[in-house]
Amino acid sequence: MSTPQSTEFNPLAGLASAIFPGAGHLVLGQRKRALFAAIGVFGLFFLGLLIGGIDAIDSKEDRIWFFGQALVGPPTFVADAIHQNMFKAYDPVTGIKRSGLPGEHRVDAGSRPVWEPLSQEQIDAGIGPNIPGLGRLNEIAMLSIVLAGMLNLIIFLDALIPNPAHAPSTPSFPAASGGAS
Amino acid sequence: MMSNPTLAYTPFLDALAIHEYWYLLIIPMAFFIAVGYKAVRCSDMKNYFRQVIIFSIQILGGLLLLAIAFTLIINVLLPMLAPMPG
Repeated sequence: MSTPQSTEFNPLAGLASAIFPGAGHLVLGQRKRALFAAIGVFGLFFLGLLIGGIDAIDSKEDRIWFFGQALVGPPTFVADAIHQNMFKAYDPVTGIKRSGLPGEHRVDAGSRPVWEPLSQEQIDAGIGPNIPGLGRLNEIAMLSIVLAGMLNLIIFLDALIPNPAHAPSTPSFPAASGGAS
Repeated sequence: MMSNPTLAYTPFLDALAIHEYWYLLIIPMAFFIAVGYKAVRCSDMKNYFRQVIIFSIQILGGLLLLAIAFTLIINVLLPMLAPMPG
């Protein structure tokens, strides 16, 4: 079995790119492109998280946005799993899993975490749920991560079907090319 | 007086309180889009940083032109086409 050249359809590079942004170009031997592709995708991804907090990725409450965000790959699913399992809890009245409101804190009540009201001492101590993004800022945060996903899709396609003009230049030897004179 | 529990800000977990400056966030977004896009579209990596800067300015310029166009439509064209009473 021959190793695909850097200008052919390359499923291995596509798979690497789907697992980690920029890894596909690393497989193709294009280290600079891999580095800058990863900086672009993760820059947008973490910018979104910085603006909107962990609430910017929510597969349950912002499902449509999540479809676009999922294009980033495993980082989105890890962030969503952290959000769902470590920052959400069940409403003690309705039984619905939700984000916390100001004045509540997350308490493990036996089998599942629930929201309980904070005492004045706890409020004074700065205890409380994570602060979700609201309004336009929340939209910009979610958009930034969706843009990271769409950018990663372009990078994935470029790794899967590399542009021949982007192949790293290798020294050509007459013997390697058949040695015909 | 009730204390504010939002004082304990944790980056990447809590949202930033920059509601008045939301439009400035377009600048880093445009920059990162240019960094990622030009990483795969730039034919010669020797011109990479120049192309990133040019593309960032093109994105921001395009958005600025759209903002001017929509402002003119909302504030000038629509009042001419459908004047509101008062």
